[in-house]
Amino acid sequence: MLFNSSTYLLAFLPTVVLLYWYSSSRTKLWIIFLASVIFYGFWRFDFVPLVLASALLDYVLSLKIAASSSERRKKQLLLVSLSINLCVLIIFKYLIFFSETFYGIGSFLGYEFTFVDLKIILPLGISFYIFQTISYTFDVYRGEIEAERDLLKYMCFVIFFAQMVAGPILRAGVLLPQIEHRPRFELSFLTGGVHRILVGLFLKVVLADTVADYVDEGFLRSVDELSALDVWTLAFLFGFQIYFDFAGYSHIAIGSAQLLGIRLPENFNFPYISKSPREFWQRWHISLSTWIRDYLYIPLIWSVTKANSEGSDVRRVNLAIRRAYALFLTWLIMGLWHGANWTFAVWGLYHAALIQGYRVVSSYRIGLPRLFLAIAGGIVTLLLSMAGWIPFRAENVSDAIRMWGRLFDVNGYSLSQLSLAPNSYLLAAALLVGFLGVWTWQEKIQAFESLNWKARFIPRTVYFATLFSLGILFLQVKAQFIYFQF
Amino acid sequence: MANNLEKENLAESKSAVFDLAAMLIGLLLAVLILEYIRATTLVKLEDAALGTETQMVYESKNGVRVLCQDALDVEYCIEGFNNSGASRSVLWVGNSQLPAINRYQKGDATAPTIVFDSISSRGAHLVAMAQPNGNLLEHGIVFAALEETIDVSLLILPVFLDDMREQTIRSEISAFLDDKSTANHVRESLIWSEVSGFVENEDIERSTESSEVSLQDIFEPKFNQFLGRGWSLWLERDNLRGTISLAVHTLRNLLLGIDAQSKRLVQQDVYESRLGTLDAILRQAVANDVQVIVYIPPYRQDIEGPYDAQQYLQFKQDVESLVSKHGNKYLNLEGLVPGPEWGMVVDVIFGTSDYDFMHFTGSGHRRLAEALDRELIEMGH
Repeated sequence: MLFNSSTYLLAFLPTVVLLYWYSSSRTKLWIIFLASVIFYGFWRFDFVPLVLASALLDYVLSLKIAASSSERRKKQLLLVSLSINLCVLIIFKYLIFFSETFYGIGSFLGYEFTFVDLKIILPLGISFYIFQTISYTFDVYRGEIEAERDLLKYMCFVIFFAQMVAGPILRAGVLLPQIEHRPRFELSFLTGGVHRILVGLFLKVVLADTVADYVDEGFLRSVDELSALDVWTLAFLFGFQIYFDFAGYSHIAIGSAQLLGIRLPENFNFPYISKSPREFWQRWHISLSTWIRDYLYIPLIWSVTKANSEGSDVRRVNLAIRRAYALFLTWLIMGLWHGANWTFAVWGLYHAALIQGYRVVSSYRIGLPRLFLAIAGGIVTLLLSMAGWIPFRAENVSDAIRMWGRLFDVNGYSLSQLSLAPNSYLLAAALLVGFLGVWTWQEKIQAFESLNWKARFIPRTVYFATLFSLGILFLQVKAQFIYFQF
Repeated sequence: MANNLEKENLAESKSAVFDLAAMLIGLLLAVLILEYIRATTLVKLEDAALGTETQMVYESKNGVRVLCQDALDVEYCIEGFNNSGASRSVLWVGNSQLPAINRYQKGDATAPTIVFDSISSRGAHLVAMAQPNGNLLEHGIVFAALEETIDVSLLILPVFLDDMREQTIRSEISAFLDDKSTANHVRESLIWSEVSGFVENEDIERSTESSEVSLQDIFEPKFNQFLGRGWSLWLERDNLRGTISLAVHTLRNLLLGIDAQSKRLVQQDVYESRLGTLDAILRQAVANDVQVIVYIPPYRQDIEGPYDAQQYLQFKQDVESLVSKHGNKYLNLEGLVPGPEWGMVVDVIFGTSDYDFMHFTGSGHRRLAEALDRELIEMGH
């Protein structure tokens, strides 16, 4: 079921919320579970067993891990869980990609294979719920949480409709306690939840879907037709589209959960005002980047550097190389997580290069004025992050690299070379100004929020009237959320 | 401390109550605002581009449709041809200039209707296909789709400089490819290589979408219909959105000083591509023994227009050269319609007016019809 649909917002969610708050404690859990099954089933009911089976596997294995006293046995069970989960992910998400790559390499080397046309449907949200169950099993293995014995509570954690198809990726330690200790109804759940949903809807159906038309038109053009300014414009437009789309989804997810008294963590924090690539990933898709850091990067760092913790300069260089290897491998996986296409791999490696480059450059910052560093860092990070969206959106690696190449064409910065629809440039500029304006004003907005209700009432009423008007007007299933395809 | 906590909780509750009140009042205001916009400003978008002074006239003569728009209503024109008894037809493709009459008066007729009458008396049959904002890519599909169905013996093709910037084929035109035999004929034509890049993806999307229908795809439209029965505005949101987009577009033009006379250059690479499209249409016609009249449409001469003079001159030379190369008839009708017979576009929302460089009065249609009819007679139709 899509968040940006009348079905979800006007039928499903109000029904679930009403039933939830009018139900007894245990019944609440059944409501979440059944609602989540229906929510997922509205896409494909025949894939519900896959989700439940995947969740059940980790439920059983985690209990066995918790019950075992042998470290070796715990590790074996963890590996079984990892292997099965990753196999499922590989089969459904990457099998066609790997086979196409294999056939492509074979063809390049002169071998002709009979191509078997694999018809595999990518289950909605598979990357998200598989990562969520993997993290659960890991946390149980590491002793960070106790294995959940109540199957219903566990299932609610895995398939909670508000976040299962596109995150935020939740740690069991965040969601399970809230499922365990369900709070009493507070009016702020309703007002806060509806507010978040309205904001998310605005970002998605008003902003993201409007920008999408210009992005689609621009990326349909032949690369040869695009000048440097056109490529920058498309980069910025898509950068904003994906931000509004995904942040919008996250707001709706957080708001939906808030209606049930459940707090989900924030997933975005004004990423485009970051002053470094590292900071960008502390502000963009926070749940994924922290997951990758905690369950992939840190274990990888530990495993490649444990033999080199002290020593000579040679060892220090080796250590740096190994850390870089861990960084690039992590980002390659991060890129491919987003999609089974080499463009995503290029995107991931690009960000790894940015972070690695920042590590090197940051050691030379000493002595430069802070304000200069902040402004320069902000501008450079913004340009580099936006340029990074090119391979994410391009049809293939060749187009992506050619578009990047365009950015170095000095002649392409002439206004006479512009080839996109005129509104594309206006829109990109307006969005950038608007985004910076909102970020600049956020302190004033926060100060406003702390005023008493009398002072806030009229502006707040006008604000809600605007959000409701736009939400009612623009609500349509024009396009699903970008991150649903992951 | 407990007292402070209590006070905090009370303050939070009060805040939530007033937030709820603000929300409910905000929702009510939103409904009222939208209803107000619907009542006062909602426009028929297809007529908005024409303004209040110009109207579309899709006529029938003796029960026979003369002018059709696209794949959705072409059956009426095909039926007209089948019932006419004529063995072959003249196909006239174009844009809104054909069906739109400025300052319509009783008795005015569109140029296609006048020509229809004239050639009917000579035993021939005219079919006119005029999609608003129709462009060369779309004309190519229409021609290829209909040339066998209505046995086209002559194609009348206006070529505007505006056509040379277009890169889209709308779904109402690509819908011609929904019919398998029509699609096969179009794919086998010389025009296909020009248009395939703009329709192929749409075809594929349509066929794949139909095999992946989810419960939401079935439920959502039904639910929207249900909501629409309770609140009619729910079903008019498309139109409201369009009205607001139009208002924003108009305001943008006002702010940036863009008007009908603002120069709009055509990009060279797109221009070359569209010349290729014209060439493909002419080659297809020659290959199937179809005569062609290509004409430069009337262009208002008494005031400065939106075409760059040099580019427009080059365009006319290029079209004439291409048409002559294929042995077809080239007509330059740019000066045909005098200034007073051109219209003004009066904005349907703000009431501002601007020059209309596309549409003219009934008198202008008569001049156009007469000019083309003379050529048709000369060419034996």
